[in-house]
Amino acid sequence: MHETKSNVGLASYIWVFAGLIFLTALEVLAVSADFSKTAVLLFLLGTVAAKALLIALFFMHLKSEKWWVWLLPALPVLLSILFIFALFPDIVYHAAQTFEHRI
Amino acid sequence: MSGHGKESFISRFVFSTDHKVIAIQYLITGLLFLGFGGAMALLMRWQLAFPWQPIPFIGHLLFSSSGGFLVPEHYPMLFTMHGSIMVFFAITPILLGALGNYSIPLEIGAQDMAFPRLNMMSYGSLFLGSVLITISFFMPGGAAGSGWTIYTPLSSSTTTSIGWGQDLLILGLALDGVSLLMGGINYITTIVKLRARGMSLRRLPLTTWGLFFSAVLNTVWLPLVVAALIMVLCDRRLDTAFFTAGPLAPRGGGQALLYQHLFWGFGHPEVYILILPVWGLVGDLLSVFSRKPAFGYAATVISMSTISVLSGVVWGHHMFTSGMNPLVGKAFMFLTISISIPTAVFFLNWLATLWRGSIHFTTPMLFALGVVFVFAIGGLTGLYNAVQTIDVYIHDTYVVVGHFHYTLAASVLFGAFAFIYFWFPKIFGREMNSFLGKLHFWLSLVLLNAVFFPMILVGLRGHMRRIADATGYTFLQPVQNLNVWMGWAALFLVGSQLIFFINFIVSLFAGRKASSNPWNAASLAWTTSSPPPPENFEVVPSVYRGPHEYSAPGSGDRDWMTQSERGSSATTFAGKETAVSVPVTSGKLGIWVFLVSEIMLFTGFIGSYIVLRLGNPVKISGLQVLNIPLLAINTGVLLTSSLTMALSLRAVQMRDYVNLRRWLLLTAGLGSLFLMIKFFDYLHMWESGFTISSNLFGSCYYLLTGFHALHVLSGIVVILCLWFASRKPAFWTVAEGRVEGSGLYWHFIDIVWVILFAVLCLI
Ligand code: HEM
Ligand SMILES: [Cu+2]
Repeated sequence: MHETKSNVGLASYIWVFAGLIFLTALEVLAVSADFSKTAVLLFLLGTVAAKALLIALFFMHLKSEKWWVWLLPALPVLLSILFIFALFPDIVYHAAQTFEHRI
Repeated sequence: MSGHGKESFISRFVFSTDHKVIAIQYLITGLLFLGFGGAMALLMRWQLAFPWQPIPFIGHLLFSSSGGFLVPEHYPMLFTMHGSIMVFFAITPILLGALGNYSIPLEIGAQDMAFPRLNMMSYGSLFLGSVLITISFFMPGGAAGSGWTIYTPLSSSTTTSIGWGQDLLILGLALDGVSLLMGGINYITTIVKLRARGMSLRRLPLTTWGLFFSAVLNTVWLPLVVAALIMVLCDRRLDTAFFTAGPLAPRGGGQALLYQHLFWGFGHPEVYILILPVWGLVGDLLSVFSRKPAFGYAATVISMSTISVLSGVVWGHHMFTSGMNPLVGKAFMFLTISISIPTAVFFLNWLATLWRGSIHFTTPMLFALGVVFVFAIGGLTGLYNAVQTIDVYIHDTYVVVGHFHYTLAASVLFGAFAFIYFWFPKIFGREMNSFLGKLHFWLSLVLLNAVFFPMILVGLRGHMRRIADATGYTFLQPVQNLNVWMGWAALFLVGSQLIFFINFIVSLFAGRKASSNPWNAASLAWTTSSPPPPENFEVVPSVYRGPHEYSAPGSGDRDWMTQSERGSSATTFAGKETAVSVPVTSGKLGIWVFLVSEIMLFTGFIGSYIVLRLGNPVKISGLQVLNIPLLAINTGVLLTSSLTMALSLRAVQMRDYVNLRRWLLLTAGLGSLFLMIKFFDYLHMWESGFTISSNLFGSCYYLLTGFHALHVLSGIVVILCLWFASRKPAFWTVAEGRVEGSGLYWHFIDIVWVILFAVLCLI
């Protein structure tokens, strides 16, 4: 039983790996082609999320973990996103303004 | 005991992995620094009371070059080091280090922490940090002087008078941060995994709950400030400009406000990190010494957890006057004020615990009641600070200093004393003198109000914080007499702490021998001898009831029942409420908790890069400067190493140790190849003039990838260690856990690179 389980592992590892390389190649192609900036940005957002998920699910075996093991990476990732967005009003949108503008 | 008797002094007391010994190391370190910080407070109060007058007795020793009195540069150094030392090297070691280490395993019925060696390293890291900050006083230019908040651009510029002392403080704090992270991983894993049979979550003492939440907050938020401090260090020594702008950053730069966000993103949770264990401890002590179960146990735990969550989203209340977006400020105001709801819940629970109890005014109980009293003042003054419109007036005045001394120097410190008086008999096997203890309490209570309440008064008159001499301002002349008053009161306050130190030292050697349960307490720690044997319990305990079984029917001639007593009363839930067995190994849980902190560390770096870059009017893209094909190939190399790492785990699972070693070696090889390519990439770019100080993008590129490369390097070292260890069949029994754990780390590094490749190189 161990044997078969692990062999299934082998095939999926190789597929995941192939997927990762494929997505990377797509990323490089996308930025060298002549697409709009926003389109590239959205595309990269998708590929990065897909790659990270592939690694986490298969290489880090999150796929076969209990739900609360998922929480451990999910919560800080969520917090990170919230934190970065909370910085936008101050750091991103304020930066271009001069001191006089602020007053 | 006999086994331990043969060990040398060094291995028993210096390099010990016993949580009880490590707790004592933390306690002594914390108490020494408490004295040190107190002495600095006195120097400040002397200066404020009698500006520029020679300091009596010790002035010539300390400030011989200036003729025995302070010069203006000294004052910022004093408040900076006083604040940093008190928060990070006095209170934190005592409450998290000592109380956490000592109480957690004993209260949950474990033999030790989940990772005893990590625990030893955790203290080691704090020790190194404390050595660095001690040395920092003797650096040319003196100690750090930019406040405990280390605000940029003051702290990030080396052209100000602030010299190497500042760098050492930053390094010292970073080491303390590492120590706390290691501690956090240990505390969380221990509480989740090592609870004795029957110790369900609803039966944990409140102290343990407080320490648990505090450890969670540490693991999550501390990495942010570590990232920020590393960037400050780069700004200081590598000529980057993450946190400076304008004339200070001629090549275009970052933003000082970003530092404040990162600092307070951690800094606010930090105050809860300190006070949560105290709240828990007070909850337990009020119950023990009222001989009643803690009122509303579940509600208390739920409010503590609610507060822990909320504490992560209120940091902006420290920045109302920073020029931050007012709308954001408003959100922070409402969130902050909402914290008072759960706070009120457990506060009322405390009072209800006392209600009609049979109160025993022992020394620890007095200190616990003292916490209730001074925390009420601290908390209520906090509400004023939280209101945007009021804070505009009182920000940076002594109102704030008074407020946070009521919460930190009064509540948290009283909590620390309550801990020491309560646990001393268990830790050292002797009792402290209760007359001296009570004297210490009453003097401290009166005197600390005499010091800290006038702070609020002078603050309302407009007395600024962080000034060395108020007499120069006409509007402050009427309150100068209060400054003199606070000077005397502080002298007596610090002086009355000598009673504690004398009591502590004398009791250590000559105190009455303590029984195993001198307070008639019900939690597990009090069922074993004082001090406990090396493995904590003669017999591994089973738990049948909650931690506060006082005055329950059926306890016979005593008025309490310990958690491990089976008894026959109706309160026995055995069977119904056994500890959940958590289906994950300690090692794996520890690694995941570690990865949580790693995620937050990279959030600090990557998040800063994202907002700085989006906010920067100068648009630079990685596509223009970087060698994309080379970096893409390098991405392939790292991805391949993840595959080989996954295959080594598969080899272990198939008991194929020959291939395990091959895959491990290949993984380490690929990792090294990645680093080599990286190195040539750096070399090439540096030669073509693109350096870490070229511009904001260059700074971010080298910092982020460099930090990632360091992670790869440590991953390689770990994998090579595994490879080396796996020669021996003895290793094979533990191989799966080790390989899996290192694999999780390795794949995580891979994910970080996937993100870096996209955000740095492709956009
Ligand atoms: C004997 C008791 C103490 C006295 C008389 C005292 C007095 C002072 C004074 C005069 C300042 C400088 C205020 C200014 O000029 O802005 C200060 C700052 C500070 N104190 Fe204390 N303190 C005491 C204990 C503590 C304790 C136990 C803690 C921490 C747990 C603490 C934490 C701080 C912090 C964080 C600052 C701010 C430093 C800064 O502005 O960067 N203090 N204290
Ligand atoms: Cu705060």
